[in-house]
Amino acid sequence: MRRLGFLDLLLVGLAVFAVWTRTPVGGLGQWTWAWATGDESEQTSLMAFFRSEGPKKAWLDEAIVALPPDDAVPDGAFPEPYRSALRYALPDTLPPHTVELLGNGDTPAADRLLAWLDENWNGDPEGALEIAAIGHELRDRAIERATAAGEADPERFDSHRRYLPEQDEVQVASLVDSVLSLATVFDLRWPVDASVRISSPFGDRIHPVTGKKKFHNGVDLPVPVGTDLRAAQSGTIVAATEDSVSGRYVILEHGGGIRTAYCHLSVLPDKSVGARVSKGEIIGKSGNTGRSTGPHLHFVLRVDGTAIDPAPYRRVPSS
Amino acid sequence: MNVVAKLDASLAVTRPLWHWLGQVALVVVGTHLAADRLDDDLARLLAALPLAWPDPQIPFDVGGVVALTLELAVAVWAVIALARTAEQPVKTPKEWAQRWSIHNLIGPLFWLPVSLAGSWAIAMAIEDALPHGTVAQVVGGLVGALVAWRLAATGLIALVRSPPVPRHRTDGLLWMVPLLVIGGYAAWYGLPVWGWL
Repeated sequence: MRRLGFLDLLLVGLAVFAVWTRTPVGGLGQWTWAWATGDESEQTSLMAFFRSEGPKKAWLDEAIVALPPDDAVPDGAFPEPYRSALRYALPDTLPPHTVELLGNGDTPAADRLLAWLDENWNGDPEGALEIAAIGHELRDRAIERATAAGEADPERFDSHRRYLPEQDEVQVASLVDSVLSLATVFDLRWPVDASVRISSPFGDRIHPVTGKKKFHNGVDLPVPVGTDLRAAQSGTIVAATEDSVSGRYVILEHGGGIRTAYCHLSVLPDKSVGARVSKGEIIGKSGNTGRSTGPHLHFVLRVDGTAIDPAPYRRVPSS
Repeated sequence: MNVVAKLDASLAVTRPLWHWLGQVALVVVGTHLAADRLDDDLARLLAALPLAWPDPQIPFDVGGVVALTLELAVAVWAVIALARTAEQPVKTPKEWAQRWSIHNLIGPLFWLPVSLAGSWAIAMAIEDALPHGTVAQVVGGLVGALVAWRLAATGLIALVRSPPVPRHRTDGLLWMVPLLVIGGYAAWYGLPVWGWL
């Protein structure tokens, strides 16, 4: 009989360690261990092992981010709206590679990072931020792996992030995700004419149909049935369906954890789920379907699943 | 025989007590890789159903919970499947055919891609733990190959050569869909070959 006892034991240990540290099964094991030993330290949610959840955006706690004054950020090669977003979304703790890259200085970290990005501008904001966070080598390795696995568009962060070491992914995401998602939000196009008033704002309200106090997770825009609705940002259709509450609705995913939803439509888009849409492209017509008291568009903006008020971003001119 | 060789031999004798743990662990790693992709697609599928979701975000939360539940269930299946392997291996295809069942057919089809995906995940983790360079790539690849040989292949061989004697041909029918879905996702997303094909 072939022996290899040491080798097998080592490999078993390796596989068990991988389960313990990287999977929900290991998370359950850690819970059990903590319960058995009376360890009261905070336990990781099992859902946290799913990579798509991502770290919380640095700017999301503020819920409403003040819009940057037009002249607040000096011009440079690194373009708007990423430039402004960098000022607001820069996490408190920068990735070690970025700290090393920027060195020490009297100017704020955001200014030094902007200067570095201006100097090293390569035409790709996402790639430039990622390189600033972890350097070329790790990024190239992840792109190689994503290419080998047959991922579409492997150079995009969303396509190759799963192939980065977990800690590095978190560090990149804390910088790239935050800046890109806020840039996406800054650059939103209003789905209807920007002059249309908001008939029901975001936040707590008395529901017009049920009469109960309920959190309103978006804004209502009263527009006649049949009004063209435009994609607030380029993205992918992740839902185009109907139910008795939201009526006919469309959800678009814009990357970086940003989603927009358009509810109570009369007409859904011609394109099906999975199709790409461009910013400003017509994605349906407004209506009065579902639980609705009159023709309007219910417009929702979500960041990592959390609904935020889209109203402050209406004034931002579209690029 | 020197001490190391004796110790190695002793460990090898106790292999049946702990080897299955590594085989199952490898499948759990590969399953997670698949489930981590499945949650997004499940969410899209749920959102496309004509159901009255109180909030359009709910399908995406439900998708995550369903993928997690499937992952945990499949991990339990892997333990049971290995425990059920018969003591008497089959010697000929005819003998295997006599033990034919959905469980015995689907099991290896699931095990192969999922355990290979797990091997690749471990290879990447090893490469990531070493300083970037060719050495890291070679060591990672080597460990991945060893894991595939000593854990993935041995588990697969156990399932194929020692299928349990079924009570009914339909044994394993309930597990067929989750196993094939997870196995399919592992094959699609967990094997570093599609880019080169």
